[in-house]
Amino acid sequence: MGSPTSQVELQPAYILHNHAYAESSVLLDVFTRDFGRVSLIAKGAKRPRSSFRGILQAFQPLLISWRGKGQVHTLVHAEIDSSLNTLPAKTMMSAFYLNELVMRLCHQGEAMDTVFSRYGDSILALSNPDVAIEAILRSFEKVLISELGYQLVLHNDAESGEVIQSQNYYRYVPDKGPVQVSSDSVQGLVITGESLLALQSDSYDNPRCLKDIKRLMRFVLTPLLGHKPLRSRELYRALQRN
Amino acid sequence: MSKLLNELIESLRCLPGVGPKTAQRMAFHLLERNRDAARHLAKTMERSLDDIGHCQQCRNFSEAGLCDICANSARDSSLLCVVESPADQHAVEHATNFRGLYFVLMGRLSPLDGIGPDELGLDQLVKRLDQGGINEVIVATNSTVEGETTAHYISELVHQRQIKVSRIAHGVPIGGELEHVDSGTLSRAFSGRHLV
Ligand SMILES: [Zn+2]
Repeated sequence: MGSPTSQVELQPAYILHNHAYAESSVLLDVFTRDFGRVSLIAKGAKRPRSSFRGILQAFQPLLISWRGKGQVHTLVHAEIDSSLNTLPAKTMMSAFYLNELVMRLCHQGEAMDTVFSRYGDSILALSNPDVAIEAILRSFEKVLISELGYQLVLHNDAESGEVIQSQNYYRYVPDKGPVQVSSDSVQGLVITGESLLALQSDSYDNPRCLKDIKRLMRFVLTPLLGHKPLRSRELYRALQRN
Repeated sequence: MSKLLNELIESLRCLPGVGPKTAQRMAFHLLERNRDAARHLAKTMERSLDDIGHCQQCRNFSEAGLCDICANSARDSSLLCVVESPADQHAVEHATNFRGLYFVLMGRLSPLDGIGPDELGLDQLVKRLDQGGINEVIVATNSTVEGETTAHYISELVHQRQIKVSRIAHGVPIGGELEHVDSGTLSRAFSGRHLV
């Protein structure tokens, strides 16, 4: 039972990660618009005269064509789509974080076009060194979480059904949503109604809310990511220590 | 096929780009035609593995505590060139007139592979900067996303210590015609243009 031969032309894509493969080839983990994550081999990509040289870089909007059967396909063409994103070093680690999230949470061969388009917007935004990085990351996480089927509840109390009030405190219960608690409650993840509403409306200006939102995102993402820590986060921390 | 011969073929496959067919050809060649060379190879390999370690100062391969370059007092110890690999160090040494010292990272920051500052010996680099005597650090990491990230963090470390830091230029190859240069390189060459 062989899988059918596939042939895809000029598919919008970003390279998430690459590994050296054999003498001069590269194994790519690619995020595509219509096919989700795809594994591709770029044969001879490390040879000096390869047409892939200089093109197969992470964070570049690409158009790629591939052929093949089964799990791993062969890249036959790649070109840079639209303008080139030269990411400033300041935002690079955040861009790696987005790549790691996509690699860890999106499945191979499963299209996630909303995530794909938000990914592209986020990378473009990160090419501005003065961008509010945290806002970009949180809103990407929000889209990703919802596209993975874990819609965050941000407008109503999950038990009473009452509308979230800015001045109240809520505990975010996994698989359920926010439940109002007294302000001195310490158990579980407690955040303010103001922060829930800020996340709902994608307003990331208030540093206090942003901190809450970051905690909430981590709380929701942790069970999805499993026990293996995020390497980009570890590296970021290690570099901060230096 | 004999068990030992099979084992030899399997062992040869640890070399980059050597598949089962090539490994078989290599094994037959060594046994049939070139036993002396093969014996020499085996001995040299064993000695290399026992004796070649890393230079204490630059991390490059060396069988002595200090490699030849670090031990050479005629080199300019106020200039330090940071490269990713021994191959890159070799390339810079042979293609340029650089006569300072090197620091070989043995890799580059690679967030998704878990390669961080510890693996690259950045603490050792920092120690070296803090010892004084270095006036300029030339960051010659590759022009890949990971290479640029590495360059950025090293530059920060050097800056913090009020030492001059420069980055090698990347651009159009000599003899390269613009229309044949890949767009990534051309874009980099354009943004890194200088007054003439
Ligand atoms: Zn040395």
